[in-house]
Amino acid sequence: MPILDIQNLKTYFHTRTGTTKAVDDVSFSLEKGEILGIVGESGSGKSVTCYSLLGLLPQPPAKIEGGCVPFDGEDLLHVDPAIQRKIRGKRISMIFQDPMSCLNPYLRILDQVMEPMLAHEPGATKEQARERAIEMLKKVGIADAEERAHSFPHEFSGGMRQRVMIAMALVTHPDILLADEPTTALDVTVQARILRLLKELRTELDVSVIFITHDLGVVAEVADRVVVMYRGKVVEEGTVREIFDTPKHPYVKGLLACRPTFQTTSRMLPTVEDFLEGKTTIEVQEPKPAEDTQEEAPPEPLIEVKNLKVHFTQSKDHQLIKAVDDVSLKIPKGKTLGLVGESGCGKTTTGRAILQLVKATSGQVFYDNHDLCQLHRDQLLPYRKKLQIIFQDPYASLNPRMTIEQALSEPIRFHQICTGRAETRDRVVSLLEEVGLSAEHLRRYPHEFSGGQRQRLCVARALAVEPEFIVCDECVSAMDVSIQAQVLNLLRNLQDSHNLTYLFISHDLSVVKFVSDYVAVMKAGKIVEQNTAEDVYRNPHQDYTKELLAAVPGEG
Amino acid sequence: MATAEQTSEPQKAENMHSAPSSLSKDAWLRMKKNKVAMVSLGVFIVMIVLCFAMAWKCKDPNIINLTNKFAAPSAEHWFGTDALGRDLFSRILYGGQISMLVGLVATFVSVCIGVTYGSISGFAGGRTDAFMMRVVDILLSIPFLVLVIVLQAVLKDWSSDTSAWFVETLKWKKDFSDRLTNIIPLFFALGIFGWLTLARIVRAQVLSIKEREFIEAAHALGYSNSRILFRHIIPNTLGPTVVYATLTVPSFIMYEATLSYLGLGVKPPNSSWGILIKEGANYMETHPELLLLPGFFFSLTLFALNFLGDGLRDALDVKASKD
Amino acid sequence: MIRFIFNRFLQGLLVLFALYTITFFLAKAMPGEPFTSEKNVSEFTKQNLRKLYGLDKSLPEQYFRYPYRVLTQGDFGVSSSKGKPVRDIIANSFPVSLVLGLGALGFAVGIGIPLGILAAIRKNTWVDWGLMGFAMIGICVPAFTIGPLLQILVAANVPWLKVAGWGSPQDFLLPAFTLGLVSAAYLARLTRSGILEILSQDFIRTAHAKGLSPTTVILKHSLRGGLLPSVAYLGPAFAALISGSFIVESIFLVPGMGQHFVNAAVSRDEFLLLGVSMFFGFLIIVMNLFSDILTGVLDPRVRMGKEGA
Repeated sequence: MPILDIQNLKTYFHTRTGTTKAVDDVSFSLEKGEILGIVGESGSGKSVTCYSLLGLLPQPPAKIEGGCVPFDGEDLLHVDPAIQRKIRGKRISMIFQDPMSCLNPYLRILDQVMEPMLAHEPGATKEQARERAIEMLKKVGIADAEERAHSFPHEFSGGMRQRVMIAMALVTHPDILLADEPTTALDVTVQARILRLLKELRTELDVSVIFITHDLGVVAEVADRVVVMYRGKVVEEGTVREIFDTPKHPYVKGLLACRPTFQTTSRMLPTVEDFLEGKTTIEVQEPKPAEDTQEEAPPEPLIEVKNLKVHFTQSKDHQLIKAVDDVSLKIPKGKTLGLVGESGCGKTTTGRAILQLVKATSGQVFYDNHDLCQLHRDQLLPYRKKLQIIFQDPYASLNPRMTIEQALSEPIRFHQICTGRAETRDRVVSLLEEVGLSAEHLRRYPHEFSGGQRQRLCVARALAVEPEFIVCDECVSAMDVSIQAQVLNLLRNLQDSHNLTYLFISHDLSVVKFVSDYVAVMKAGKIVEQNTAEDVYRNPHQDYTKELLAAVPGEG
Repeated sequence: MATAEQTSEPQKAENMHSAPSSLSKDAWLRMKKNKVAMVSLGVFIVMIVLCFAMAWKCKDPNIINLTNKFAAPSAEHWFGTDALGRDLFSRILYGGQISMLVGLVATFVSVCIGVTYGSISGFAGGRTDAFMMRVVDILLSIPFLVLVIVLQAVLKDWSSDTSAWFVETLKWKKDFSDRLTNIIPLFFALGIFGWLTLARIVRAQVLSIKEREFIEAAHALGYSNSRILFRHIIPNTLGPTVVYATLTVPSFIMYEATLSYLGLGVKPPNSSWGILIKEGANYMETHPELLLLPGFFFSLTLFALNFLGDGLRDALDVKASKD
Repeated sequence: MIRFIFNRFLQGLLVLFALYTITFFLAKAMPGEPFTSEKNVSEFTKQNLRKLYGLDKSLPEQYFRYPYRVLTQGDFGVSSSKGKPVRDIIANSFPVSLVLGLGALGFAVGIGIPLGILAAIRKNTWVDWGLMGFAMIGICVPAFTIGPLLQILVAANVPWLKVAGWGSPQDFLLPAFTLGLVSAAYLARLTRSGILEILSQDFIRTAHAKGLSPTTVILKHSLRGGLLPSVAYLGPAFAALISGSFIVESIFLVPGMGQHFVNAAVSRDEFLLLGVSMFFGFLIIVMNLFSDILTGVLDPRVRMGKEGA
């Protein structure tokens, strides 16, 4: 018996540049007591669907053009605003992606958790609200709830803040909980715990949940049924098993195929475009050549890191932070070393320290028989050509005020790789073509490109100086899975054609396994385990590694 | 929050058929749609043309004609005459010259000092930055007008001595030299203290840009510090700088008027809007037009500049937050 | 919180010290001499006066002598243009300025902030544009234009209000209002933009999702953060009020400290100049401290010393 029935929902955005059909005739239903997962990439309309239900969209530019959503005798889309307010927070609650920005930084936690009850249950006294709030905080796993409830949001960690949001949403025992990417911003181990919590609370409090995510693994872990959305429409609907084992729609097939899992053995990833264009899955997969497995001895290290330490003193309370604490790595030439760990473990700092973008406190980084740590800025100049880096955020990685041609020509002219405008321009065009763009993009500015294209531009810029070694610092982490597959394929191709060596830093264990020949696991500034990729994933030695691997959603 | 505002990947790739547009061009297009800002820009341009170009064709504002006091508007005197029979219209135009000159030049000086100071402080970081900003904070805590008044008092006689020197040594015309040296102390006073807030703004910008990945990429590519500062960081600070500079001009014009009202601003033979308003206030009950007309021109210019600044801020802000 | 206040207080002392140094040297740099405006003072008397006030001593000595005398004997020197002890002049005019300043601040906060909130709530309606238009008038039309205009209006229509002078209690209304208008205008704009900024934040969406009434969302959730820019401006606002008081005092014939300050600059009255500057500086520091404390009260991240507040 569906508790919520969404029928033909249409939500359009009317802006000065045109009309976007964010949600275009979407229908599905939510059964009582189930967790329904809505999966889609950015622009699919999954979040807008839920915002429409609760009337949380700003009515210009958004407009609900059609549909009806019966809920308990009312049509949510056409209900009186006063009644809609009574439903929000009492019958249907919502939690959001970024708990830091979603909690009021100026009010205490207890105050905020008590609010829904005080607003919706007129008979409740402050004492009763306080008790229920604290009880709820304990239920979501906040230890010492009585004391900690008096803190402010910025004093909690990310996982705890999300628990607070969950408590706040469930304090009135609503019928439905809408969860918009609640674990996307969390570490994988924290995510695992929150997913478990949600499943428990669903049973304990008899709540029906709509769980929005872009991560198929998460959906496999937490949902009973799944709805897949693409460009504002529902393309497929079914149980988790149905969707994962027997997908019907080409987009869904593509989505499932293009994400790397622990079982992926091919060198290249199929992309969603392949499926949408009708190419079959068989041709695209090439299993890794047999010689690449275990027994071969690793080639000579291109980069050798010995006892690297990077310590910071926090300016506020003068505490010593050991971001990188005695790390030693060997990165074999022409191969990829994956550096994996959760946020704050020091992997990003390690990458930057190797490139001398961050000053190491002690230790050595050997390249070409020189210790880079001992060199001054001027002495490092020739090495800058050989060692490059690609960053996580493609939006911030390009100077917004330079055209593509300027941005790519600058390193070429600066390092005198080419002389003269014509030669430089030819080289720039060939770089663009290598990363899948073209000469027509020369005069454009970064903000005119999509995220995936910008990341390609960053790759092109890194390639411009003809490097041997590239640090990929979470460079696919901010992307949709389909774009991620394209970029990973590009990196692979370039590695083959230019004989590049990569240090691939990421928190995403599936991607790291796909991309890496060797893997190092990092925790709290130290290397916990280091081996070939196969070994680390098949036979983890350390408990932390095991914990990490078990926490990956959909693989456990 | 608006998730649908994010143009999805395939859509953005399809959109790239129009001409390339830089951030500045985008901002200009956005501003053109802001009617209030465009009208203000127009008003400001008209004011400049009036005061600088047209003033040359007008009567001498300093000719005293006691027989023609407080005349009504006529073909000869478009706005009539003031208490000493001087042509009001040309007095307003010449006054505008001085007021706007002070505003624009002092702003220019402030911008130069402020951008330099702020970007060096922000880029250097660490102790240097802390010290430089401490100096700014302290100077900012001192009431601006208090300092300017004291400075003006100190420089009062400097100007007549310097003028004499210009006339004798450089053989400049006395009238021109007088007019120039009478305003220079004001430029000086405003310029010395007016750059403080701008330095803070630029420094804040530099600090945030410094951490952005494209700057790290520049370091990774081996660019020198000066190249990074001048070619990559500073061009990206222009937005707030332009907005703040546009808003500084009217506030300096206001300061000049205030000082003139107190008798510490520009001196005869120059006249400024501030002086005109002060003179007009004396006759406000009998001849209010002597106060209202200069007051109107003054306020209109300030309105235009402020609305223009607001419009610039709105036009530039969207991009700033998006990036 | 205590550490926070203490730090700000120390910084205030630093400011006072810098102000003193700058004013001292500027005052010394002024051409002309004190006591020269006194008519027919004999050279002998002048010498004695100079000795009395230590003006014959070296610069560094005078530099330290002044604060010493102020702190130990409360002696601010003698005004050369008025012939009276500076302390007396300040003591007589300070209460007047205080009433004027507080009244102006009251008008500024009482008018500016509510209007700013109203404009934010009714964003992009006639109410908003009208209010921001009025605010712009306050910024662009100087006090010395509004003042006289108000005087004409009031003289014609409000018989029980004197337009100038300072005798009866209601005399402070007109000058305080004129003085407070500019600050009211800035506060209205700052409040409006501060609240709009908060309203665009994610946690406001959360508040709506909880089903809270719009009034609660505005009053409880957005005011604290939204008022922060305005509270931060209170310090500089007070400084602006002091500066503006010079003009208002002369238009409305108010016997406050401002006119003394201007006269001291014009007549090169060293001690009066120093005394009044220091006093102003001290008041501003106190006000800045108050504004900082209020910021700490509103924003827990600031008072707990978190980075990136």
